[in-house]
Amino acid sequence: MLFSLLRSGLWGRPDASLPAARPLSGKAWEEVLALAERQTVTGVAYLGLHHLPEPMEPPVGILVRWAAKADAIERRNARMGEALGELCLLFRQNGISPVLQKGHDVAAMYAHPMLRECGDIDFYFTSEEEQAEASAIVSGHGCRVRRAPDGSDCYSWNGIPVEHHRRLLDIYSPFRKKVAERLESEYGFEDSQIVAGAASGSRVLVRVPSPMLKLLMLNLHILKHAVGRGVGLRQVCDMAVACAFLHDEIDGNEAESLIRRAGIRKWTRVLQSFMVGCLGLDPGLLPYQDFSASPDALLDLIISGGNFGRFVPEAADGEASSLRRKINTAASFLRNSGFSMTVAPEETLSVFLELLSGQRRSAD
Amino acid sequence: MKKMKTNPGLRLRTVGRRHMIVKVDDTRVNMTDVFTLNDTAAALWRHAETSCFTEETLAAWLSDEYGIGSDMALADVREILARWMEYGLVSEKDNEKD
Repeated sequence: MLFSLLRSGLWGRPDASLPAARPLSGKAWEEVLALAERQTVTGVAYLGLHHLPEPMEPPVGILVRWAAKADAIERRNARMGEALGELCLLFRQNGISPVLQKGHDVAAMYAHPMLRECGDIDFYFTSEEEQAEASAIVSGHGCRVRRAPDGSDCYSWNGIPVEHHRRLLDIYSPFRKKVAERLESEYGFEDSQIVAGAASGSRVLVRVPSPMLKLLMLNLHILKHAVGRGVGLRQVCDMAVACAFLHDEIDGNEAESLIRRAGIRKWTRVLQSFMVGCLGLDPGLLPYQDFSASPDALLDLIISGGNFGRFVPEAADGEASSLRRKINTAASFLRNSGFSMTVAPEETLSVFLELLSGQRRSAD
Repeated sequence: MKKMKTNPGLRLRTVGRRHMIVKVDDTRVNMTDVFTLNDTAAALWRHAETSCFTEETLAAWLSDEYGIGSDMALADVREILARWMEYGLVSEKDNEKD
């Protein structure tokens, strides 16, 4: 049922598989809602509820809770939009133009952006100096900036988690690092007016990756998490929505060649098969026509992992110790490596080495 | 005639034939109230949220829309507004700020 709701919610039409389905019990609906929450797709699935025929609707008690959660998602998005607007303005006033990765830029591609669950604000800086300068600026505004093992700076802006990154594309293979740099300079960035804040029509000017770079960034981000901590449905929904939204701006041959250069052709085949087979993406909207793989292994990984693996039972405790988190990450890697070694061996090994060096750096 | 308005931040949500208004209570952490409305109350809410209103203007709209007598419409509107006021969904309009 969750996939059916997602297909309806993503594409704004009743799901074709619904007429054959039987109404669910209250208990089964509880499980659907819990799964939607674990996968951080409660808002998109809520949209899907609007397309259910009356006999298929959940009991009113569940519906009421779902509506409250959808409302909370919208409110958090509004707060995050305000924080994004404030930070972009602050950086711009100081002559810094970071690139917004995912977040509100991806949400803007959804039919109902405010119902996409948001996580944190991720900024990418093209130089170490800019990153340091931006972090110094927010420190000056009273934020406690923490350096993560991967070199990112993390802090909270009015209660919204923010990260400053030095990496746009999650390519870890040492043989392809130069490819990542070349792709970045080849495709570059563009200015975008993104809807932000509670007031309708309030927009913020921000730099975002170009369409081709955006698709590659989303693809690689999912792979990184599929290899590591685990991946959630929302991230794949993001990719599917981006494929549909950016389709007219993407040259298929160029996209295929870029995927080859990044060394992720086999993985992309599985991802594209999943988006078509499980999320109902029109195959004609894929960047290029390659979706002949079975999505089953990725589906298993997603269902067992949830939102970037954060809901694997042993990882559920947000206050887990640093050692516990490291053990969880290593365990996730081992759990997921059977799949990822098959579809992306070069990246899998490279991510593993990166994880090890990250642990070493954080222990230094 | 006292002027009233729906409180800001409240949105009527409709799924199928169910109508709900979600209200977050800022004074209680993580507490949310959800009010369910029937079709007529939902239609009344949609009309009320378009601009400020009085009991009389809402009753006139209800009377026209549903073809009921003006006295009955006014009694129904008073009853529902009293409940909405009690739950913090509507409030009297502050004329000084207008």
